[in-house]
Amino acid sequence: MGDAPVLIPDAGPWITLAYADGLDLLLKPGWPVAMVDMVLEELTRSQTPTSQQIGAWVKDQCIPVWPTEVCRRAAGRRQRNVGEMAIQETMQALAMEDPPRRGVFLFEDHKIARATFLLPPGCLKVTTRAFLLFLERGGWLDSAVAIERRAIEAGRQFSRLRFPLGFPPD
Amino acid sequence: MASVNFTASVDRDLLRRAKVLAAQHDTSISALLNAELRYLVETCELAERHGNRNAALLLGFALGRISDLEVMEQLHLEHEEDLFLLMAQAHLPLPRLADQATEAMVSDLQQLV
Repeated sequence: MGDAPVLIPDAGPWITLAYADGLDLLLKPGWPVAMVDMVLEELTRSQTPTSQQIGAWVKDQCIPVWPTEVCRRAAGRRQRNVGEMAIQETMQALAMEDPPRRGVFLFEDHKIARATFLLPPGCLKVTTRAFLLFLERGGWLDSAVAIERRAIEAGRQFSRLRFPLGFPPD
Repeated sequence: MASVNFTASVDRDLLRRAKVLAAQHDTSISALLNAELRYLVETCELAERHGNRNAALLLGFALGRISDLEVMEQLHLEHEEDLFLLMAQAHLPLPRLADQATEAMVSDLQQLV
């Protein structure tokens, strides 16, 4: 599959799929998967319920971590939207390859609604939900809804550990 | 407590799943709706009485009225994961794009295989 697009998830989809214990779903279409360095940094710089799982999965599956200028320049800074900036840089880098490479960028719904990405030709931005439905309709997954439900159930369990004072948080 | 009928619209697939859930638990859609609405209203009211805007912020995010960046800033959250966990704990759904937009994305993906 020489012309296969590369699948590049933002932080949100990594988190959702990790809670659903479904990171392997990223491999189902048979497309190469890549991690953007700044996204990996955001996901693993502190210990969270999924940081180790994601870091280990990326290592075990030999997922390439793509370097960005954003990550290099953001070293040590904790700015909230640098992952998105690194994703945008990655989109542009794909478009500048000769021949341009196709990319499928995964985001959570709210990120697509808020952020404006300059999407190069040959690149798609899709939501985790759309990706799961695509897998379901392609026969790679029994139920997209079940994955989302599993993520939420696991999130509720972990949230009680991470925010033990309960909701609403002080 | 007196009940009243009212008209509202709901996502078709969500209603289908709610009917299945209601049947599994030998209850009604109305009972499910009452339980979840009560939880949401009482949680927000309680928070408001204590001068805590966090519940309102999370609800605003769920409704797509406040951005993730703004909520994280206001709640002093450093990680996107913490926002996901708080939403799960609050029984609030993450904001969703319209089904039509999602279906268009699925269609785009299908053209790649």
